[in-house]
Amino acid sequence: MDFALIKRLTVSQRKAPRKRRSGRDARGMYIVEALVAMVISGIIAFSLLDMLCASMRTMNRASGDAQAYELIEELTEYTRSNGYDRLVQFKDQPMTLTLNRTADTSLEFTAFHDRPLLLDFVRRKWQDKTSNNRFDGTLSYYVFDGPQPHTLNVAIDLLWNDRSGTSQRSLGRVVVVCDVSEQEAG
Amino acid sequence: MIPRRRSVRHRNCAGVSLTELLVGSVLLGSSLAVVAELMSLCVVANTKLFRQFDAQRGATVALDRIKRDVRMAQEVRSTLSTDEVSEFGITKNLASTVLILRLPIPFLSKVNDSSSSSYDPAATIDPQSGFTVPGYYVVIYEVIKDAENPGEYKLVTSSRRMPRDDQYKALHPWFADNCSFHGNVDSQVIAKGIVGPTDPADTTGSAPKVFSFIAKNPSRGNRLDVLREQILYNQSVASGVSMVGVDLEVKRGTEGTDVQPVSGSDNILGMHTEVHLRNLKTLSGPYDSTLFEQQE
Repeated sequence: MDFALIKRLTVSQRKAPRKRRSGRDARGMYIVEALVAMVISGIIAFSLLDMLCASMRTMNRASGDAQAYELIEELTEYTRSNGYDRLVQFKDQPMTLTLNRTADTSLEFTAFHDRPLLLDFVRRKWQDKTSNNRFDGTLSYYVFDGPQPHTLNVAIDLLWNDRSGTSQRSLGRVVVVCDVSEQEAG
Repeated sequence: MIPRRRSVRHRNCAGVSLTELLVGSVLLGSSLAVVAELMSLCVVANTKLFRQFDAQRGATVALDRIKRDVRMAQEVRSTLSTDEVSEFGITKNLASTVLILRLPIPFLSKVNDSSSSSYDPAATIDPQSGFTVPGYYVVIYEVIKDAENPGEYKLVTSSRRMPRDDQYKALHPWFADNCSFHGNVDSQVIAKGIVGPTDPADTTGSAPKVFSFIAKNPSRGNRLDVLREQILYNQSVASGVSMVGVDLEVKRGTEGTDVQPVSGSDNILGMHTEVHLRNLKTLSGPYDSTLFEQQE
């Protein structure tokens, strides 16, 4: 077998550096090369981490959205439970309902609703982690004239911040409530 | 024959100097340490988030089931009747840990019920399907201690059809022969890992106060207010309940004993919902204002 070929296969293919460094016949890796390699691997690692963080942010946002949707659903049910006769007493009064009650927050518009819509940290003892995980936002509730006589519109609007605090999100719904007694009489 | 390689020592293949090797190792080590720390943080955060979702899903499944039954219920019961006690083998009273409901029985012909042995896929849907038949289901939801996990509770449900089988057959033979009924359910677990909420005044470590009962308060313009727990034994009060509130605080993950033990990654989630009884048979009242919890 050709000795030159064997030599080419067994000995490093790397050519000698053009310049000698420190007078040494160094054919290994330059520190610059090592740094470049590390920077590239660092960029890859950070982009992977960023993807992971982005997916976690999305999951967090989805969790908040789901809770907001549930809350709006519940308020819709509450609105229907109250009925026309009661709701008409609160017509044209914009209300902001309390989501979570803590020792520092006081209930608002108690004539309409005398307890928090979500968690009550005053009348019930919850764990600290629940307090940190709680969904918070601003819920406005507004009763006004409906599309037909003897009907009411109830606008429910919820504003909340992402857990990451990067964006504000909102969800709203308008519920129409009819005066059943009037319709039956009609 | 292949000639022997030259000794490595004599090969013209100089590597890195010791200084370069050390500097490279230090840089690589420090960057790896940063990446490892970030990865570790990500794993903890990911596990926490997963557990939060798990807790949310667990609580939602339980709440959805309770909501469905409450919406269908004709009445909230303060206690079980004698016949019901003999069926369940135990007595139960309405409380913040116990919910007793009476649900109507919808008609479903045995030939239309795919889980029935008389099921006929070719049979037409019986026109009576969905109409209520005589009798009712008693459904109990109860918060009980979880023996496997000290300090945690679980939510279980049991149900029975009333009147009992023999009585039902004697009273309503046609329905007994043709209607498909749900089977009995005994202590089916619908939520685990419940750790709260509890009464702030209670220091004895009693069970979480999961259920609250809401009725129209005539002294406050029919505002829907929470009834005091102490008067729930009274059926005339229970019959007037128009909404049921459910508070659940669910924990997921236990440090050190879990499948994936990550320190500080256990997660607790609180949920509250109020659901309206849409199918009320009768509504008693009006109530005295002293029957309601004083919130302000």
